[in-house]
Amino acid sequence: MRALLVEDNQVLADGVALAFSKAGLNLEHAGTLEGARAFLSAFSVDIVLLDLTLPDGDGLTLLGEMRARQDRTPVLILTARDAVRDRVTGLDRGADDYLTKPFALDELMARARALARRQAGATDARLTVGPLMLDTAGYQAWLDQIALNLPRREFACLAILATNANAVVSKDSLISALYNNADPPMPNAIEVIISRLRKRLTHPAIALKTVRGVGYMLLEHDR
Amino acid sequence: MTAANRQGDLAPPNSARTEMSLRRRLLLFLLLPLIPLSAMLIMLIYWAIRSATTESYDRVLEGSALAIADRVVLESSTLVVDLPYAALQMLTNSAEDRVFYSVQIYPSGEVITGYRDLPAPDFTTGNDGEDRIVQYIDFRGERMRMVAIRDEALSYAAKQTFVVLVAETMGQRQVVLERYLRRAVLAFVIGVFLVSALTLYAVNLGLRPLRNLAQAVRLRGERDLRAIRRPVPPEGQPLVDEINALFARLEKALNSHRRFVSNTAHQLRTPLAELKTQLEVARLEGTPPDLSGLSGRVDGLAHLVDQMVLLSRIGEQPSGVDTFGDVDLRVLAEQAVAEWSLRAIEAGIDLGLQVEAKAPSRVHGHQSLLLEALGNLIDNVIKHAAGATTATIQVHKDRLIVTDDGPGFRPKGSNESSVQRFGLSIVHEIMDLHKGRVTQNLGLRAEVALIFDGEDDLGSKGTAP
Repeated sequence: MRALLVEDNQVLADGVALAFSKAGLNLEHAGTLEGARAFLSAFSVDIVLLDLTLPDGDGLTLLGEMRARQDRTPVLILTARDAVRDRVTGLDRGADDYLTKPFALDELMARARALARRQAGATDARLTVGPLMLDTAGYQAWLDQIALNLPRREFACLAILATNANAVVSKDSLISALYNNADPPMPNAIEVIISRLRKRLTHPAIALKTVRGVGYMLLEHDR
Repeated sequence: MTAANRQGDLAPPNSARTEMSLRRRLLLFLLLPLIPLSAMLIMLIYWAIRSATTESYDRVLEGSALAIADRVVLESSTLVVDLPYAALQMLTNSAEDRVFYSVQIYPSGEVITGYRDLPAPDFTTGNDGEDRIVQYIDFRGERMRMVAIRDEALSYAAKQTFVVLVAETMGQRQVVLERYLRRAVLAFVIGVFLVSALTLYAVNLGLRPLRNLAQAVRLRGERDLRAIRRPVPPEGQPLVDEINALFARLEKALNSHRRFVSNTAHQLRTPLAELKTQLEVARLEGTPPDLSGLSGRVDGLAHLVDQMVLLSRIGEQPSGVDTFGDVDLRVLAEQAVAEWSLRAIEAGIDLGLQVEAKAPSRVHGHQSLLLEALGNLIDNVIKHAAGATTATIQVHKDRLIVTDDGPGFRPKGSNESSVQRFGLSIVHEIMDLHKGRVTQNLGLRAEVALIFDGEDDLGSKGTAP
């Protein structure tokens, strides 16, 4: 994964760079909008970490430019400003996620990974969550390189959970993704699928959690 | 607050239509009817003057005719008029007007003396039995007033009926009519002017209490929110009452703001002092500080600042994205669970949702503030409910209840952290804003309920108070 950090605060930038290099990932750093524009015109990245208050303008301008030229690179907004308002305007302009300063570095890493994973899942059909790997084109899943040979519907359920790893997926959205009107689910169908998946995913690094009354979450320990 | 600012507050918002001033309105309604009324009165006066002059001039004319008739005698069955012209001229109304006369035998119309072509009126049709006719005629190209008198001349043996006609040009009548009319109109204009001036004065006098009130409000300092005690007329009292009520609300809001600022300053100072102490201890002892503990404290501080920003924004003008609206409690609770699940799981707490309401539970509320309130309660469970393994948000018709199986919230003043205390006080503030309540139950299962029982009241207001 290659990321571009657009941030004018050197202390923050150094911290993020350290976290990325410890995780063995590439991070490019631009201190101004101009620098970020120049970099993005020459290279492509997997994710942009975008500060909003920059010396030569508003980060939202860069986001607007990217989206205007159909650049779908995931953008994670880092803001020290009014959280609620920035969340709404940022997401309106096509940002994928936001994080308020100050943030924990591992939270930033997890969000960045999740965004990159979602983007990758949308383009190259390969998805990795810890020891779990999915090939959404070939309907194959591996846990620690061992093929799981999941039935089609269980695979689809796992793919949705993996795409949204570490986030809650509601039961309703699973039902509407896995079933349609012509093929309505049996009572407890989702519970059955989940319990089967749970039996297969016996690995200390991942867990399939039930969020009572809401849905499920594929949890990656040791993010 | 500047003068311009204050004026802006008083101006009707976004209204292209400007309201007419009370003074102008009163003057308009009082003085506008004077125009048709004056026209009508002037018309009446015109008619009165006209009929008065006509009547008096006619009488003089009639006198002339009667004087002539007196001089008509019957001498051996022949009518004779003994009248010097100069005498006739004396009988006219004025020097400028010309007089024409004629004495004729009735009914043959044979002229005895005077102007032959002066036309005699018809005494038979329409004027039956009348011996005296006054009418307008056109004679020699002029409009004239003419009196016709039918009389009889008697001798010892015979009698003869005759007619006396006297016509007069109307120059003097017109002059007099115009003169009186001019005076009347002048008097009238003066009258209208006086009435207007009096009305203006009376209106100004009548509106003085209102101006005095405005003056009193203008002279108020911006921190002086005492109720206005000045006596005002009963019509002004509702306005003064409303202003006083607004003052009271402002005072309350200001006080709660002051309290909030001083509270938060204290709340911020405590964790900062702790942080400082930890760093000092580490420096003095030469040992590395407890980094994860420090990081946690900084997180707590950051969270505190977030919530302060959120709360400070409550009173702002609605900005479209972040206002009061319809909030589905179930959706809200689902959002809160989704947001907090990861942290709950990492803390070993099973966070879940339980829908108790049969129908969708909708309240009028502020989505992000309520999410924050719920988040604070969950955060409290995660951080402070030692020994808790499950936490559940129950969605009821008019309330959200957060319960956990921990030992419950410790009573105030004990070992709870400053952040926790502040978190709860924010929950209280937010529920106050929703005209709702917060209840805590420290039984076997600790539970905190957010109860919405004032949402109708809030709904009618539309925005945050």
